[in-house]
Amino acid sequence: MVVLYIAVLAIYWLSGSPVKKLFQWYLLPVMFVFSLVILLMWREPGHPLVSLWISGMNITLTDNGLLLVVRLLLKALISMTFSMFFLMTTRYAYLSTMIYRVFPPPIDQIFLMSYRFIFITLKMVNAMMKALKSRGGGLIKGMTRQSQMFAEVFALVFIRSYDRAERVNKAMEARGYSGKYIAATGIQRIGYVEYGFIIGILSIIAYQILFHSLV
Amino acid sequence: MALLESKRTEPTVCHISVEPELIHVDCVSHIYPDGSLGIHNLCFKVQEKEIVAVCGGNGSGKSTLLEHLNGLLTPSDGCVSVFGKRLDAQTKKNLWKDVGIVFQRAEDQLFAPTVLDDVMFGPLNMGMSIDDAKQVALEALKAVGAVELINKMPNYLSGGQKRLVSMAGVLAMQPKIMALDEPTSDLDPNHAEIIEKIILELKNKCDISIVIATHDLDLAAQIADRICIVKSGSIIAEGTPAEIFYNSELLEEAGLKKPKIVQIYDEFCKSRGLERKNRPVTVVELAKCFTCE
Repeated sequence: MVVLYIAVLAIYWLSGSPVKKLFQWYLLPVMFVFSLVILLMWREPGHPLVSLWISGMNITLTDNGLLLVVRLLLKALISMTFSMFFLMTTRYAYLSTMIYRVFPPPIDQIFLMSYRFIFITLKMVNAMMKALKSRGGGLIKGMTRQSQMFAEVFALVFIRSYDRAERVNKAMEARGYSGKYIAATGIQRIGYVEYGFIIGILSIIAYQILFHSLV
Repeated sequence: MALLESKRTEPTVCHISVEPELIHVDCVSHIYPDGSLGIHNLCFKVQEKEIVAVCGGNGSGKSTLLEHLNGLLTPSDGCVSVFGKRLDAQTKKNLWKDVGIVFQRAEDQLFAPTVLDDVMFGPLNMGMSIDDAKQVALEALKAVGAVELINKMPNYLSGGQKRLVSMAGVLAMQPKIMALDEPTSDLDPNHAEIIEKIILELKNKCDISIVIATHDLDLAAQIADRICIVKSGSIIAEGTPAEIFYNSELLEEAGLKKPKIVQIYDEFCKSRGLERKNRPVTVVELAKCFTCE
């Protein structure tokens, strides 16, 4: 998995995508993994490495426990790196066509609408945060008040997005929308080299699954 | 909107053309789910090859009226007929193909990832093939002067560009009637002028009837053939721009200000002690008056 991670990271770097930004974004999967394993890692059987006394209870970190953390972390980082590589190097037209052809309704519809929805919502949040900061909102000290403020912003975004969605739906209905959005942008057909690449990768994966266990 | 009663029961009707009616709104009232009155006993029509401006202040019922024209809203009372057919569940199904509506907020209309995708949306829903829809979309974008934007994301367009693209999106469906809700709001003067020219071309070259809901009387004065003044959900006056815009009492009652052309001409006559012989409403007419007087 270490080799796989290095390979994926190398592909990401070679594609010209920003590596520094990627490492900043790693904070999210790392926090996610730790939030999951923080309790689990102490329960793994194996050769003990570290023992702690907490509130009259003895908890031990074993080699398997540490391996669990490393394994999950690597999986998260590999998934995230590859996902970012995929999203940053694939044009939206190809992605939307793939989603439209592969996924059944209404999953394809949700995906196709999500793209614009994300940008509209981010713009809304941005505008609200600017309005907030222009009246000293960013200067509020204290976790409770800050949390309250952000909760209010989040609630407002939720309500406004619903309101906005109604208006967009009305505009779509005014142009004949009846539940089916067609991804119509033309894309090039893939060539023989690409077909060969896909077949090669699938063969490697099939071989690994059938004759070796994929960790 | 508050529940208000119109003071006038009969609209001031001046010279009206007798061209065939495309849309007839017959004594329609609309009450919103919260109980507020949108429009009240409103009678309105759209004739062939005309630009009608529905003018009124905020909350007067302009947008509500427009949304009745293509069946988005159903009247609580009265009926709407389009091309001689009364609107019901059956006739409303395909009405969007003939009556296009461009909403006030272009943001609400643009939902696709690229401009071309968005403009193709209507034609694709009409059953056109992808190639035909693309062709029609490109023609519509060309008509509004926005062809260079085809691959752009709507997020990165300026306000004026969004407005042009949203118009192209409706134009691509080749409707017989287009309803535009505040088409020049939030636009700089250059883009407002572009929109004005496009509206005039649509009427003159494409024979599309246009309904504009606006409180911008300068726009209405420049391009409209007929003006309807709306107040508190009812039409209180109807006539040509010259008849309506020189009626100070009427405009004051409706909460509107005279168009600048009218203000300039009034001031010109007043300062020279001249009697107001003419009623110019466009820049060209005003210039002629200055030359003559």
